[in-house]
Amino acid sequence: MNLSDPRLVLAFIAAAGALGLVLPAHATTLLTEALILCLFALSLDLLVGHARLTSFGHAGPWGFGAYVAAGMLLAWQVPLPVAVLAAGALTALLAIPVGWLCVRTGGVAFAMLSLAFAQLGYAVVFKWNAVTGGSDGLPGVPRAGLGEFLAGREGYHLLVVAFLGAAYLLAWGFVRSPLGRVVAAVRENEQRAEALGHDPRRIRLVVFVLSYFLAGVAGALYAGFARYVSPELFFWTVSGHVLVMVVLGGAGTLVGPMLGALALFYMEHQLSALTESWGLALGLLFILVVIFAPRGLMGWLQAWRPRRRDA
Amino acid sequence: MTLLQCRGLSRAWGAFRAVSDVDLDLAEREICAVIGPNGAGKTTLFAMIAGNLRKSAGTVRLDGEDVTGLPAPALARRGVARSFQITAICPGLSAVENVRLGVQARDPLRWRPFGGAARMRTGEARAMEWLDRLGLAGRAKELAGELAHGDQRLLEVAVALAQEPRLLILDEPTQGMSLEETRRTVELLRQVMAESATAVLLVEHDLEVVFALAPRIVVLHRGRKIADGPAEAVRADEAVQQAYLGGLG
Amino acid sequence: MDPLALLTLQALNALSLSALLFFISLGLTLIFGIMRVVNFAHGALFMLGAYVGVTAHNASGSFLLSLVAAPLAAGLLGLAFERTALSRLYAREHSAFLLVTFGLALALTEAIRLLWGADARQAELPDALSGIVFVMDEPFPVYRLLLIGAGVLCGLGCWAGLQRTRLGLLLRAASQNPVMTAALGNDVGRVRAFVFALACALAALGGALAAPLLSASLGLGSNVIIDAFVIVMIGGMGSFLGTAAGSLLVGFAQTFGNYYLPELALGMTYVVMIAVLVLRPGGLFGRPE
Repeated sequence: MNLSDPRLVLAFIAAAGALGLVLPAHATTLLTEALILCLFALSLDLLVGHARLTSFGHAGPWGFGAYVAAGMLLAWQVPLPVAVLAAGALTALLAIPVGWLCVRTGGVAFAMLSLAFAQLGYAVVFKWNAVTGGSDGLPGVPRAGLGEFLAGREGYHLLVVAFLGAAYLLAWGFVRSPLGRVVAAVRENEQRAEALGHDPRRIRLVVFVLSYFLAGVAGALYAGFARYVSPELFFWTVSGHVLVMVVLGGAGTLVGPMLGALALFYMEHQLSALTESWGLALGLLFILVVIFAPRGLMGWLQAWRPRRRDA
Repeated sequence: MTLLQCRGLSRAWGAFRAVSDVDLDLAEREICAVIGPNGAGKTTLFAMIAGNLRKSAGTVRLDGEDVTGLPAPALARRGVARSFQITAICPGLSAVENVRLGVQARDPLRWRPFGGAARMRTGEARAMEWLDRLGLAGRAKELAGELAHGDQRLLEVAVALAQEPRLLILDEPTQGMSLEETRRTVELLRQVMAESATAVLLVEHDLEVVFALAPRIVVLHRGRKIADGPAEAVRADEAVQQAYLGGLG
Repeated sequence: MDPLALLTLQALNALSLSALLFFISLGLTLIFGIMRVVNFAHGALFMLGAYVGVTAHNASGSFLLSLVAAPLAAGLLGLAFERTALSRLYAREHSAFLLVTFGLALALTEAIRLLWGADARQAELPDALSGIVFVMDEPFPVYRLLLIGAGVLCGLGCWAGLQRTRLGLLLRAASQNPVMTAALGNDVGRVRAFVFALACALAALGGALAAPLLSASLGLGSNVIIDAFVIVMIGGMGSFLGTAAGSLLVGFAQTFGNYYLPELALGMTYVVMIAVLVLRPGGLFGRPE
């Protein structure tokens, strides 16, 4: 059994959907939120895992997508799926100039640039009271145009599941496509990629835009889920958290970061009920994972099975 | 037909002139070796031709088209493939994936972000053929970074060949190889070159390799071209003897 | 108020803020210069300094003692962290450092929450320092003047240390070429450990000095680290002069911006940071990586 088998992953996502129909109300709500975070982590994995561009500003597209969707839902009552896709598209559009500037650099400078852009988003949203509601945010985001079932708890859960499944297929298809392999070549050896006729900067920009698109979709789904957006969505600790999810799960595997998101979310909610010091434990655990298990949860899970040569 | 035409190529770093005023023509399918002592400017010359380095002066034409200012990716798309003095492969990808990247480089599909699975499979089959020709078929699934040094050099040549270039630039293909590996490589390269339609520019320190592979030899010395002609004639040339062959004893 | 007096007071306020920012950014840039590591935990260490400082002050009644206890605690913690965690990562790529120091920031923040609780702690200044002086006939807190003095002193001290001592020479050599420095018989591992501990101590000293002004609260670290990043990115990672200039720039921009352009000040600092990173990726005074 291969954990990265897309059929298996889709089966798991579908199972999570079904679970939402039988779990108690409170648990379903938590699961919906966790699945949105899965989508968020998946989007970051394209950058961190596949292009090896460590972004410390993924709160930027997440917050941007959330605010755009919230604005459309509040102002025009656009049907929510339309608002989500439009928010993703606008985030992707924004990613073109932002990414063009960011991918000129790499390493630490890339991390800092992406961070600066996200913080700029924070500053704009925080100060632009008239449009963004300032520090109060925008409350009462409606789940417009969904009908009674889909706007309800279970219905919205299924909607999130559908988006997550589609997003996973998109990311999976991209990674193994010819262009996806070129991304891997740019990551592995820039000089070789150039000699093959690829402009590394342009290839990185493509990944950047796709990653921002998915993060924008995730943020938009979150706006509809929480029915509320605030500047905190842009804050750098959000970027740090989603990066923790990716690394905890195993960067570059697509499945791993989703598992990482589930694991982190679960721990935050279960451990916090058990012990006061869960946050400390989590921080220490994260340090240990980075040092001793650079391939994350997926690395452990795969080590359990006999290693296949063609894996 | 002239495939490559270089005129007055020069590159200087401050007062140091690594390459000065080099003319070089290459016909289609022609195989030419560039030799010269360390620091003669061979790698610099290649880097300028392949677009990896800006020229201080001079022009490069490929098939009549002026390609002087073009960067490496643009030249690669026009049919220039190369190997590097320091092996440039993708260490985290398998050998066959490396070569498949070469196969798909000339394929318009490379800009299709999704799908194309059937074409990918034929690409993989073509990649396997190239690995087979260079004697690497048995290593296809291994990570490129885990191959032995000699196999990595060969893999890089396989990637470049898979691009089906019009001009192939090889920068010291046998560098760092054992005597046995060198012999095997020369044999393989000779076969592959005979079968393919590509022109080859070759830098090599090992003169045995040079004479085995290249009918024509260009000699660089302190950045200048001091000889250019059939291998036998260059071998007999007195200036070359003094500058280079003599120097080696 | 007389406009010139207002300007002067604002400038003094800006200088005192710059001084605080300088303490934290100096450590950040030192660490980056020597180890090519971005320390995300630096804000948390600043915060730790504030809490330890407040506690030490309240327990002993001596403000001066708190200025010793805070850097000592953070320095030891930094030393332990470098030896046990960071030292295992020098062979890995830079993202491992970003991640592991982010982990430390998380753990440290939570540890502080456990030890001190969620409420903010305010330090009472000793009477000698809580006074007011008159600058151009306007009242100004003595303590802020003291901060400016401390910042200048720290800057001069570190500069002299780097330029005039053997250790400073070693540090500069290690940042230029660690391999060569090691080949000359120096233990680069110990240099790194020392620098990391020193930088943590500096951040904590800044925190302890800031405590009477800003009070110790849990959000302190995550806010101040962003300012520090802006400073070292603008000034140039690893550049001492750039850090000083960046601290002044951000200190003045924030003080004056918040007064005259409250809507735009916050965003402008990030725009400047982006512009510098795009146009001069190494910063104004630094070398490009």
